[in-house]
Amino acid sequence: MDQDQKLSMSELRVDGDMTIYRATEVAQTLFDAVRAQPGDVSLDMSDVTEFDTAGLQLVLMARRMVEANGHHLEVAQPSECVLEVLKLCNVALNNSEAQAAS
Amino acid sequence: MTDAALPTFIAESRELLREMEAALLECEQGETGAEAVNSIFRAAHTIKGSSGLFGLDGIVAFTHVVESVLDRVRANTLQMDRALAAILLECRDHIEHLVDAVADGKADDVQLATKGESLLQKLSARAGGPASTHATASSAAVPAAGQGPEGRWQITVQFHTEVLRNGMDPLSFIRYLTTLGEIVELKLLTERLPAAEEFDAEACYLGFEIELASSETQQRIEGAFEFVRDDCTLLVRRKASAASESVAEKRESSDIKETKAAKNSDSRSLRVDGDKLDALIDLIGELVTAGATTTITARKAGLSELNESTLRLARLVEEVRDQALKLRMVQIGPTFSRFQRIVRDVAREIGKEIRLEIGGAETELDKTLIESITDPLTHLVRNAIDHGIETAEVRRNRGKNVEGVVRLDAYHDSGSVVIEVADDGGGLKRERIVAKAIERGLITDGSSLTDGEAFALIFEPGFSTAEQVTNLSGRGVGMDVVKRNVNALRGTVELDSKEGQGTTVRIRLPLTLAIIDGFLVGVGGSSFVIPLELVEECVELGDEHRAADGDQRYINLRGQVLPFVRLREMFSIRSSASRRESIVVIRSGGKRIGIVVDDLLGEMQAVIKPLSRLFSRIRGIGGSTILGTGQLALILDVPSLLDLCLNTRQVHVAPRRALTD
Repeated sequence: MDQDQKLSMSELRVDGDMTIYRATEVAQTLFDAVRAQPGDVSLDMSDVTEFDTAGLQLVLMARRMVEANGHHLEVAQPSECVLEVLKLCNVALNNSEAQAAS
Repeated sequence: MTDAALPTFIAESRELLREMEAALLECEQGETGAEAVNSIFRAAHTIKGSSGLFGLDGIVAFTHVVESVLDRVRANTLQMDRALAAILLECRDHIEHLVDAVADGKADDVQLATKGESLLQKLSARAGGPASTHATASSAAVPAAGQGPEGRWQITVQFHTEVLRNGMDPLSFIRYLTTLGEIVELKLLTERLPAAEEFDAEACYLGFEIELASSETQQRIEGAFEFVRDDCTLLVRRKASAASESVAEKRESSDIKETKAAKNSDSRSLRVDGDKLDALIDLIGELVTAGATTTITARKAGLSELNESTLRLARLVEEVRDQALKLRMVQIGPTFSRFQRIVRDVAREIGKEIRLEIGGAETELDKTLIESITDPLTHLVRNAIDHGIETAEVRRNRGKNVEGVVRLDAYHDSGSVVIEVADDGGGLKRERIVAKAIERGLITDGSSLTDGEAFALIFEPGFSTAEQVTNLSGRGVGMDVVKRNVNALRGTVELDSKEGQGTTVRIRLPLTLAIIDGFLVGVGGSSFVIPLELVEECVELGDEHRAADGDQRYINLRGQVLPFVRLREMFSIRSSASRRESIVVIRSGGKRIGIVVDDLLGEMQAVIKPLSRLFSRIRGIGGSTILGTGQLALILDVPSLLDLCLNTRQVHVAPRRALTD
């Protein structure tokens, strides 16, 4: 998990599998990182190789944690498998403006 | 998950692998049904899920690829055909090896891993790369035109907390739905997501509300969730217009009931430790005894009401006993199905075309019997394939169908179970058997033998008429082992054969090992039970033999020598012989002997209670049973009794030839 501070938007990145097999481990790292962010969070998921229900729940939880502080979380550059799940579940986690700009 | 659950995982995996095998064989024969594919998928899926729980990454990785291929077959993007089924069959075997390795405590076997990789390459070559992309449904899609009468379905599914830990991914079911129709709208239900502190990353909190446009039936749509039926709350209903809202409400409640009913039937069977069952049956034996004592006491008391109620009680106890014995009964079908694989592999190996037909799969028999009968059946089936069925060329010349048929059949027949192994091959050649038997010194002259007696010779040790010895059978071991095994189960083997038309081997077994049909006899004050199937006849012991105690131990029974023993002497029963004695003529293992008793008390059904360890060295007695009067009767172990008296009495019965009859 890397983090860069860019203005008020912090960027976090998750790599590898986000599945039930690693869920507990990823949850801990991800939530700790999210808690440490003062403002909006951009979650880079371009290198997520596998993504299942457990992974989806993690992202949803992270978003709730950020939103609880009155900020936003967006998923930047979701990898193919992430995009497929988000589409399937009709979950809008990526900011279309941000995508258009990049 | 603790290691204590590992044996259950292994047992369950093996069971699933057997189902998978049967279904794959079905597919290989070109009968690919949705049911078979589903069952293959289910097996792979469950094994993968459970292995994940135990951290068996090797199995997970391998099975995952197999599962993905199967998923595509299920979604109709890949065609199941013979070639694919054959590869999948190899993959199944590999999974079995992996599971075996776990059972043996060998976690990582390099050889197995290499084998797995080459198999996966083969699989992806056939299936065209691993399937990672699924047809994704766009949520705004308009239903495709011309798809028949399409309905709108409202599906609400709430997955239970444990579903992820059970190895299921709810998303795969939603994906599967897209193959049944078009997802018009989908709403993710996230209300159950807890506060961050309470969040468990391995628990599932999600639910879905889906509007599906589909021409499928309600059953098919509910079927999409078949694998998680126990792990979700599912509600499927047709979207109705406002006018029929009330009808829809009613339907809704009945749907819930239906789902529940289906759930119940899924969990209807139960895994019970065999020892617990035995303990139960043992206890019921005690109950029968106690009941009998009560009945006698009640009769003595002379209270008619008490009498009546004890009789009713006795009847109930008897029913309970029958039911308990039935618990041990299992269908023979799965055992038969296992032979599909053997037939396929062996036939392929020796280049014959053979089909296995199965009949009477629902016939039930004692579980211990089924376990012990598998080996003899394997011998017989291999024999049929190897020696029974001719080569394709010979069959064509004889005007037969090129494809040979081996048939396994089971049915109940007058208190016993009959298992048949039949083939439509060349049949047995009587002359060759007789010639061989003479050469081996088993008989001196075959002309007086009936066909049945001549065929029975092949059950003699070291007998084989096969001209060509293959690595399967034909080494002269087999048939005698079959006979010995079957006899040990108190069963018999018969053989029917017509030259050029085929052979049928018939194994006759008792329904259960826990009950025997017995013949009750009395000596002095004691009772003994002789297994009824061994009893040939009963004759009166004439006065001329009674006097000749000590030196003459045989009588002339219609011109044949019949040696006999006195139970009174064998068991040192201290009472004087009654005035009239009878001889029960029994036959076992081709030998005939008479047993002298005081009274013939008739036929009975006896629940066998094994003797305690203290008496395990006593020869001649196989167990005990409790009579209706509460009295104990000993069950004679005839083969050992026979050995016992033939060895000690050999001097007295001069011509041994007479014994072998």
